[in-house]
Amino acid sequence: MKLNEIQENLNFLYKDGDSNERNILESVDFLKNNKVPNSKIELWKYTSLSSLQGIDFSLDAKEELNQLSITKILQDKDIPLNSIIIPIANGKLMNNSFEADDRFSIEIREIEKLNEYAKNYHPLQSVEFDYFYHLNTVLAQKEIHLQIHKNSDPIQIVLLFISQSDRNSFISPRVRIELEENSNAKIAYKFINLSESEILSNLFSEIVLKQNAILDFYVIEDGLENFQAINNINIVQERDSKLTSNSFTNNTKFIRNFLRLYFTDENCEAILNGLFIGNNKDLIDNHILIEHIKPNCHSNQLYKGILNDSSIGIFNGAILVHPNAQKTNAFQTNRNILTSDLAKIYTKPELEIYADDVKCSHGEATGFIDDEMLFYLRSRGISEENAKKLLLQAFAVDVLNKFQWVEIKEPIESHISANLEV
Amino acid sequence: MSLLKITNLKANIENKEILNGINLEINSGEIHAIMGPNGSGKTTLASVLTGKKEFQVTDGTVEFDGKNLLEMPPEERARLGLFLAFQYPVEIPGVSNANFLRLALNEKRKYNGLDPIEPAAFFKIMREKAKIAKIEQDFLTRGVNEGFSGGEKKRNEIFQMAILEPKLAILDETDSGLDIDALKIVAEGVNAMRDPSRSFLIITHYQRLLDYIVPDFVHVLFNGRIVLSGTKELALELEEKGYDWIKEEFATA
Ligand SMILES: Nc1ncnc2c1ncn2[C@@H]1O[C@H](COP(=O)(O)OP(=O)(O)O)[C@@H](O)[C@H]1O
Ligand SMILES: [Mg+2]
Repeated sequence: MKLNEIQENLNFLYKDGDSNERNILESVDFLKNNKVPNSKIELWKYTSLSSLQGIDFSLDAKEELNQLSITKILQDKDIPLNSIIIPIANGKLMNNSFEADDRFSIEIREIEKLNEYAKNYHPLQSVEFDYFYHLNTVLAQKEIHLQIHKNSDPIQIVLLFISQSDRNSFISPRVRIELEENSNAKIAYKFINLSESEILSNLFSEIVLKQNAILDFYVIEDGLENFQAINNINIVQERDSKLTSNSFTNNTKFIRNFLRLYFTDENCEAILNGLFIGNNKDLIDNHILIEHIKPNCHSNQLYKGILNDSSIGIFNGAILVHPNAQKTNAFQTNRNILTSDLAKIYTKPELEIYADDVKCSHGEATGFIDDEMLFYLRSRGISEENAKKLLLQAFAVDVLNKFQWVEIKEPIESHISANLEV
Repeated sequence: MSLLKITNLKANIENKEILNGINLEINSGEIHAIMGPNGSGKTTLASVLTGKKEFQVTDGTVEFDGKNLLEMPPEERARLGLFLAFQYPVEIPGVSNANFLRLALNEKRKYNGLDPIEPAAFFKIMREKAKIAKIEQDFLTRGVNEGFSGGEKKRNEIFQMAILEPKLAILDETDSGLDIDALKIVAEGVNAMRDPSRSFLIITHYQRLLDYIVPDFVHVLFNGRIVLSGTKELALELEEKGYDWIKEEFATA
């Protein structure tokens, strides 16, 4: 089925619902009345879906994974092994592959009602108007629910989103995570594609940080051939909670990351770090929306992009400060390097500020590799290619240095500095 | 033995003629000084020799160690043993001095058929050479010239020279802006490296540095041409008389 044919087949995909599936019916309704987004819609202006439109996807990818292939992934794919590994194959939770632990519990549930903040605030960027959120809701139908228990000891969890199929497949992972009061977790979403056919992964994930919870969160999309992903991630922060979000995208054909973050109570903090590297014709889109709804919250974004060949990067950072969100601090920086005349970056800050006692700033800068620096390195005997790599590494290093999970950071670092040795 | 032979070298930038036919020969072990008023083309000469692509060579030849220098990329010139201490060294935040220099040294060694140096052995070399340029340990791990003062940048150039052990080192106004103590460090660094198989081309605006690094030959560059050559006494004469008489005497040359 092609992307734009799903609409016509909704009745077949989702027949009759009873009353406790109201959420799904709402989404069926939305999809019936809306088309797959195109470049006329502001939020999709530079993110062309045309490369996806022609692909005939199967909606039920077979799960052919066994424990053996998981073991192999764990060996090959730089997975931090001192963590709890939760494999999710083609959007479905693989059972019993992790050991029970009193710090967390996991189960399959009916899709929960969206947190109200995602509905009620910024209407243009609210997930309620997001085609792929609704598509996920209809196609996923159940969600994986991960609960981090209150007052528990720190925990490290890797969610392995594995795709494998012998035909072009559309998969719809759906994950909800709740960090209860005073919990402290490192959680990574790591994508692995074993398929040689085309995969379109449409993730929707909601994460709630209850009072005083701490989350160090990672989204790692690295080396994913034949893989296109739309990742809608909604994070809701309650009072005194702390988030660090770290994203790394490299060598992946098509990525749309949409991170929406809601400070629903006072004294929350969020630090967002992102590094994206495009090669060939990759398209990497980072959309971020941060809503400062209550006073005394602090957000700080640093996103850096390296665009090689004819890749396209998009950075769209929206910050919305609500009228009573006084004493807000919100900072945003996006820097990019284009290493080729064919590479492109579209960067756009969107600040909407309705409170008066706030500190907000944004800065964007895009350039090429600095000729003076390049010449200096070459004049010491370093080849042009290695000199460029050194400079790109240097450009990336301040983002990577903010990644606190060493077992995640180190393989990325060595990956970036690979091939430098003579 | 002739190490560098420049013959009738002419170079342009943006269609402006900067070098108007330079002739200069440097033998192994010699120290040459080039002096001249601001804007006469001293830095341009250094840039053309090291291969900065903004400058176009329109005429002439340069032989270095028997090879045609002008057709090589900058990195190959360096690996053959050419080194430039820049007049204005650029800051490269995020690239550590140590990593960058080990890579540079190993690329040079590979070019010359030698095995790479392991990190531990390299750190030993660095510590030794750091003494020559009197630089602190924390220099080594900091970003290249990142946040360095003017004097620190110049000492870092000398330090790099000591590590890379070039056949010909060009020092472009390494003395400018240095106080007397810093100047002595630079001079001691150079003198420590004097060797029958190593030559220096010292570009300077003032005679002061030449009290500490005694040159075999002194040349005066003016309007893109070497207008006078002599021994160290010429530098003293220039110090005494200034550059105005040069400008008058050679204005139409
Ligand atoms: N990048 C450049 N673009 C244009 N003109 C230049 C450039 N670099 C040097 N020049 C010109 O070339 C001449 C010589 O400069 P330079 O070689 O720096 O002199 P010196 O080092 O002797 O002071 C000057 O007139 C200067 O303006
Ligand atoms: Mg100069």
